[in-house]
Amino acid sequence: MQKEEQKKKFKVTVITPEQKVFESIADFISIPAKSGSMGILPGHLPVIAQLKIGILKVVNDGQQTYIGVCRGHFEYFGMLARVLTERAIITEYALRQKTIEELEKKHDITQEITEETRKVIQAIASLKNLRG
Amino acid sequence: MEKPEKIQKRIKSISDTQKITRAMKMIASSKIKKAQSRIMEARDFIYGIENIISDIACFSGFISNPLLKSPGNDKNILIVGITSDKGLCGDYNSNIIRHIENAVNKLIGIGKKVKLIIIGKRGKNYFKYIGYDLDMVYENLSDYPKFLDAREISKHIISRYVEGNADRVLLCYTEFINPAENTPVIMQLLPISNYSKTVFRDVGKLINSIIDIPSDSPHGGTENTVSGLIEGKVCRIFPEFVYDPSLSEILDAILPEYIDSTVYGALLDSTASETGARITAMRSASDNAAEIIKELINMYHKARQQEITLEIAEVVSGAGIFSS
Repeated sequence: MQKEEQKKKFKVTVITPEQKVFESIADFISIPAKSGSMGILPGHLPVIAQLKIGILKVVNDGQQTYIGVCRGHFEYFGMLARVLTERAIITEYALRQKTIEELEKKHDITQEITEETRKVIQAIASLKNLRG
Repeated sequence: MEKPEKIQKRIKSISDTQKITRAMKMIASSKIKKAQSRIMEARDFIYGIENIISDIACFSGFISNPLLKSPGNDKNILIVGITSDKGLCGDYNSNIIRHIENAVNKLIGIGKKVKLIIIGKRGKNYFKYIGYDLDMVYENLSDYPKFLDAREISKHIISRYVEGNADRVLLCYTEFINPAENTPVIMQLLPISNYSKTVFRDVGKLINSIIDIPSDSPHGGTENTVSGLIEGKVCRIFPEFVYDPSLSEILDAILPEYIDSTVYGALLDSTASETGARITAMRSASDNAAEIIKELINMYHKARQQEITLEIAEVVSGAGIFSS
């Protein structure tokens, strides 16, 4: 009986380049796909989806976990759901909006930083070339 | 023989150096575990990205993308070389610099135009001194590379490739095997092909297998599709995927991500290799210092004994003069 119940579940992993943030089995997950929220139940068709900034909801035995994710990709294939994202924060139901705002804010800052760094690096490189 | 005071000064100076090398060894030892675990964590992410790409390739091989497009003339080659910012890490820098130089010379030898992107002060100083054409230099990344840094570098590489300034991009870095062992390798970063995952220890082999491909082969002079990425591999048997928003949009987003994560993995490998090389170098420096100190202590005792013997001889001869 217990084995049959386990068969209806699937494994979820949330991975960022820096670390594995979350790993568990689940009955249901809801992902923030680019074109809207998408629900995944065991036995769903294989899916590859692009993610936007949003909240990933994982339900296991009635217990809900909320994880803020910042862009990335999602793949569901053969009872394994893999979320590959830039940043992930485990949060609570009440703090979902705050988490999204934080992720959006950080995302904007990093975009700005990379743009600024690129300009500074290019300027330094051209100055060095001139000196050389 | 030197005076005992002078030898004592030398012993102190060497033991001070030994303290420094020991401390550096301990710092590197504490860093290596972190570096190793970062490699493992990043490998999960890289594996995930590769998995998605190979699944797309299995089921929708006809889709093409600029990053998969093979160059027609293959004239301009961009080499990205990862060295370190700091020294005192044994032969780590000299090995990777020799590897990059070897690749540059071989490519120039077969009539290619080579540009370099160097990461790390050591490599920059060397290649600038030799007079190579440096396209871009990145510094202060080798201590703790972040994914954002890798994205920054790969953005520059991709823009160079898409604009047509580079027909092929090669990545030269040091592969981490274990703390005592690392090896410089070279791989093709762009265009992405089924060769992309293969790292070559021998530059000549890479040139033979990638650069000298006849133009009528599926990897030369024509537009590759994603199916090229999984040549010789067995696909998982399953119905076709559901793509959200669309296959081409996912591919447009995931291929740059693949380059980001490959560069990030190479940066982490290089950092771990540098730390491992530093442990080995500092350990042998500490051992050498201990040996020199042992020899100097022997010398010091001999010199001291000689001085005492001389003093006794002087006292005895002085006493003899007085008694006679």
